[in-house]
Amino acid sequence: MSPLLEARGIGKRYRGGDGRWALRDVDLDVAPGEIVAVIGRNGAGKSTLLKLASGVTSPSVGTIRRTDRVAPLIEVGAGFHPELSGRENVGVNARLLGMRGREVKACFDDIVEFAELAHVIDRPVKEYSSGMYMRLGFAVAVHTRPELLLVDEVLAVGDLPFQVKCLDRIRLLREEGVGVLFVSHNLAAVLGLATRGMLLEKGECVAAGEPSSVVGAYHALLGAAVDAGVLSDDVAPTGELVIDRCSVTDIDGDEVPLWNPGQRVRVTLDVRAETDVSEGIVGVRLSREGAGVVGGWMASDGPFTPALRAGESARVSLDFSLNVAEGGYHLDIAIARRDWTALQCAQDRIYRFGVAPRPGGSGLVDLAPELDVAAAIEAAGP
Amino acid sequence: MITAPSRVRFDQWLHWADLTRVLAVKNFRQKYLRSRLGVLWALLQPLAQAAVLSFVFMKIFKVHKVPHYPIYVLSGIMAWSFFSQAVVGGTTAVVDNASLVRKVSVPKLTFPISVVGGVLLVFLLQTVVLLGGAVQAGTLSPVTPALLLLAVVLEALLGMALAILFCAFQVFLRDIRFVVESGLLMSFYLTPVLYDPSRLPAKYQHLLQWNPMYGVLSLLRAALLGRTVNWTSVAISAIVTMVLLIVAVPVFRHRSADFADVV
Repeated sequence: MSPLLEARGIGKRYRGGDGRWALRDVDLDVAPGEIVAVIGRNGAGKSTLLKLASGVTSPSVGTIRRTDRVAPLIEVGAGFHPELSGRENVGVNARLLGMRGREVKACFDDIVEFAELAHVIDRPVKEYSSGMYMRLGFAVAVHTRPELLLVDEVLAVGDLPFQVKCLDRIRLLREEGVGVLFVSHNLAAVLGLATRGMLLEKGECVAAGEPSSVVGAYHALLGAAVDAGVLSDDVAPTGELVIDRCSVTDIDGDEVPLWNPGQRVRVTLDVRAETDVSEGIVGVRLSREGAGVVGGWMASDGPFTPALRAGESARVSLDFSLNVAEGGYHLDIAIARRDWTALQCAQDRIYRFGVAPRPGGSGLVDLAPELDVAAAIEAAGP
Repeated sequence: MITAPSRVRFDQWLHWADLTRVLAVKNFRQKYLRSRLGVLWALLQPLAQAAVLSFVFMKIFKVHKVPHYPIYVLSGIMAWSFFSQAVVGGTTAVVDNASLVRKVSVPKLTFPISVVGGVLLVFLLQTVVLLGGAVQAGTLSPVTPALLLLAVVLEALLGMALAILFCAFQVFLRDIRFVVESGLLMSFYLTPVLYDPSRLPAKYQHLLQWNPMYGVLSLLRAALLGRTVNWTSVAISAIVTMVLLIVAVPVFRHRSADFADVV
């Protein structure tokens, strides 16, 4: 199918800016029925990409072609005048998004019903909560019958039931062949919704493809950003052991772009002795980006790494469970002399990764829930 | 589907006209929404001003023997406030709507034009009061509707042309607005709002004709008070308006490509 949006090598450098490329050499296609999520840190160029997609601004280089029926989801409040009633704002907003007068009349009731605002539709919108604003804005945008819907970090607003409703509606639109391009910091929404992802960093596309691998790359990126400011709190290792190779896989030995909570992790290390070394205690530490250590373990009761002569190698295999909630994490690995007199080797942030959210989960720890609901049993007798 | 870039279809133009109309009504409504007396202020303000001016010129200075001076001065004040509000409001229209300009892809001309449209609605309302005054004075004539229509159209187009022109620059240089405001303040005295130009020395009368608002006021007062139309000034005003529009619209459209980036 021919795409709804086709961008080739687009770049944007703002007039009067510092000459920096806000976006550089990005290719992007959105086909009917696709939901493409754009993620990245603040200032990575996500909003610029959406602006180019909506046509409010044109690229400095490259070409971009789009369908006529593009509906941008306007930021909370941007399209609304606070003094005017919800009714009047719908009229203005819908037309701004390209709806004809008779179309506005035809689907006005649907819009109000979807937004669940029938009881206040004639009140000035300044009396609305931000969630109500959002609902009205979203309701108008999805009723303009767009071919391409652009959503800019707005789904974070509104209460949970309405968020669910929005996501459902986006899925429905997708089934009807609408293409969606959305920007979000809500990685749960990205994973739950997107059919494709794109990671922007400093205006360039650094990862694209499967949402899970793009989210994984994003976690790695965030981890790398923290790196610079963090110093190891450990004593310096002697370096008598060298880690030649470290692989982190699932139990089947497959690499995982994005982990699920509760998954078993297998760390495989090949260590080589620089000099003769005694037995060692293997330790692992799991840290959450920005939050510090969330779990650690030293194999103080063994098994121990063997005593090795210079040049000899050993393989260490360590499995553990990832009982943590959604977020970016990293692993530190260390091996200490069995008599605790020194660290033989240590490497912080040997592996960075992301953990996907568990639907319905919250907090820092994954509960690995298993729910069993049975029909009511009769109350026990007296 | 992506369609080949083609000429804009007729119904697209209709849609933009509809959008502009709705925005104009919105501009009109939001101005008076919060006040108790609402749109009555659009009448009370100029009426009070005209009353004071009439008193000053008729009772104190007694220099001005203009027939039906209260209606004469009221029509001048109303027409001038229409003009100045259209130009100032239009100048800042794109900047005032920055959040929309950055988000929605609509023709940017919509913004200044809808500001002029909103002010025009106020003026049409005021015209009813002016006509009422003229009925009272018995100065209406069979040509009143034609002259009135001509005056309103000419003034709206003139205000729109200047608004579009200044708006195109205001986005990039925010000082324009203050230049425009100062310019209007001075032009007020170079426009026969309070005085009757036919009482000026001929030399100055000729100079004054080059003020495009002269023609508008001449038409308006001919319509309301049965005065003779100064057709030279009307012709000058029409030509100036046309030239301004021919210059302003392409300049605006050329510059509007960058509006979303700098606004």
